[in-house]
Amino acid sequence: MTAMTPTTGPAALPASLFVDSAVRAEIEQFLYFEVELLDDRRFSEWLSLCADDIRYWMPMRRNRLTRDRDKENSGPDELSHLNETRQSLGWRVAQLESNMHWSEAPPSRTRHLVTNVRVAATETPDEYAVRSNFLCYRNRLEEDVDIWAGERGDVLRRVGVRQWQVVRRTILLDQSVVLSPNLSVLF
Amino acid sequence: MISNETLRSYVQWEDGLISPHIFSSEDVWQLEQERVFGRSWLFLAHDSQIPRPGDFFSTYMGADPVMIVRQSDGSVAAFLNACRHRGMKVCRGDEGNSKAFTCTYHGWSYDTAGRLIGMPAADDTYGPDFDRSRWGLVPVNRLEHYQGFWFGSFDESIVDLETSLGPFKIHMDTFLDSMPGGVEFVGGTQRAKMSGNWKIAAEQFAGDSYHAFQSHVSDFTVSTPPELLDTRSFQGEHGFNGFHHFGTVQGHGAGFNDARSDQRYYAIGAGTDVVDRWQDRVEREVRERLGDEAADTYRGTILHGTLFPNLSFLGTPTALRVWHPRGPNEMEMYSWVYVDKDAPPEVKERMKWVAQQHFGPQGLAEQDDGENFAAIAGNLKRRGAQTHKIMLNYRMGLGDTNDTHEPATGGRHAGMNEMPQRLFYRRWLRMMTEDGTGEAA
Repeated sequence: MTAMTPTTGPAALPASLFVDSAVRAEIEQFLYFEVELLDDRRFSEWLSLCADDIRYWMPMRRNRLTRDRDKENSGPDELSHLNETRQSLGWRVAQLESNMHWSEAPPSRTRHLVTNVRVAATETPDEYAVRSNFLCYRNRLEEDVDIWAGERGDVLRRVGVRQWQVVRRTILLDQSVVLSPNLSVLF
Repeated sequence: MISNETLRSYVQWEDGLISPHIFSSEDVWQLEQERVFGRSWLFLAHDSQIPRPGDFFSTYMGADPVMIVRQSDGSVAAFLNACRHRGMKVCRGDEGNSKAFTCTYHGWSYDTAGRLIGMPAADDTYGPDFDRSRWGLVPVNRLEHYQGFWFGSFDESIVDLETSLGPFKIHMDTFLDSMPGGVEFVGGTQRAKMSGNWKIAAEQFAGDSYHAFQSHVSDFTVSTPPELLDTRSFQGEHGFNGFHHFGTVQGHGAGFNDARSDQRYYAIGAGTDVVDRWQDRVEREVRERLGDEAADTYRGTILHGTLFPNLSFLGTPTALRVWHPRGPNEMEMYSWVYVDKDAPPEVKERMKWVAQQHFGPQGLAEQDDGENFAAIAGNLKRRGAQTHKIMLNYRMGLGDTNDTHEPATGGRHAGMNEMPQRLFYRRWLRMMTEDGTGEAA
């Protein structure tokens, strides 16, 4: 593989993206299945797709001067929008299902679009590094509309036949100021 | 221009009646910019956000963009973030470090002290007699700090910061000076723009413990260890006598549940052993240094407060926020988490995590505040004639013998009470209708 890496000419596709096409297809189906569960508000089933050791993290974005561009995203020691464990994702799901979580009761209408799926192999045979772009549209009550765009960087683990779990998820929301009254949806 | 008579009809604080107009009127909002935000002490930044020379933080004073900058001698300065040439921001970073601020439009450049130090081809364009010293960035006239918190005011004649804190000082000290090393901010500012008038958020933190049991019932239910969850408190079944509310004539307010009362309420983040043990230690320290009242407050739960007009804080968990006005129906929250500077790393990490779980636009609790604020604005922005005739009910505890409005110190009240909100609007009305700052007589 390395011998084939071109050294001149147009930028080459990263070699790591050349994974088995059946695996790539299954991972894409998993990503669509996952957001279908969210949009259908089957939150407990969605939670079962989160590994016990999941880290679900949404750093903050901010405007930095050019020389500090590498500090655009908040670091692990800083505040973040989300920094979730399996336990706290469980709280969020229980809250969504409580019917007393007023941001989502009456329920919102959400539509998650997942695109630009890039699947790369990792050093662990059953784990893949998957990047995808998302657009999530939320409409609630009469005329409240929120749109969130961003990228997700995931580590997905095969745990059985047609069974996968999210082990790591880093969500880059493309907003420095959150432009919605809350972040009550899952990404 | 809105008349004083109209404003007084909107805010009948003595009778606990408030008109929705003060949350939705463009005229009221515009007047607030000059009379409230132009004449108050406003929180700018904490020392720990700008430790080194050249460190800056961009924020707002009311609707005006400002930046606060650490100077080479260790002092701080603050300016309007607006070029004197065409008025655009000269600093477009949210935070960072810089030796100078150069406007990207024509290249006028200012040093960290706000002096105009560079203009492209200055001699050819403005001539050799141009007096640069007259065209520096507009300074924030007054700057003072308390416990590492920097406040600014555009009002040169404003009373000093400590006087304006009044009897609220003890509550600031309880949380910000609980340990000798004071507090520091966790890195990063969480920002969220949402529907709602800024006063709705500020008054809630000043005095509204009452909403927690309805607005945040889902947070309580899902995140509290079952052995600590007393569901009777949701409906106030055993009363609210463990609560105390403070209000001052400066418009500041706070409320908390006394941890020593026999009525146990839910404590956000309860059951986190590492923080509990640390707070046991801090409580002893507070009792020794600041006295019993401060120590009991420190260990109270659901503690919240607002320093008039728009700095709000929580003691459990440890969070701070400023409500920047963005128009009658919109506000922007700047949110931070603070920790005891002397706390061990695992305590700081846990305090940060607990605060973030519950507060911020993603917080298990504060998500639903955002929803409620937006819903209030949603009902008012349609400008319905009948909706605007409602006089909103701020009468809880009115006339109670414990409710002391007039003494110069404000008051303390046992039980649920909207006295802090009434005092908040009393101060607001004074500032809006008088030529002076409305400081308590």
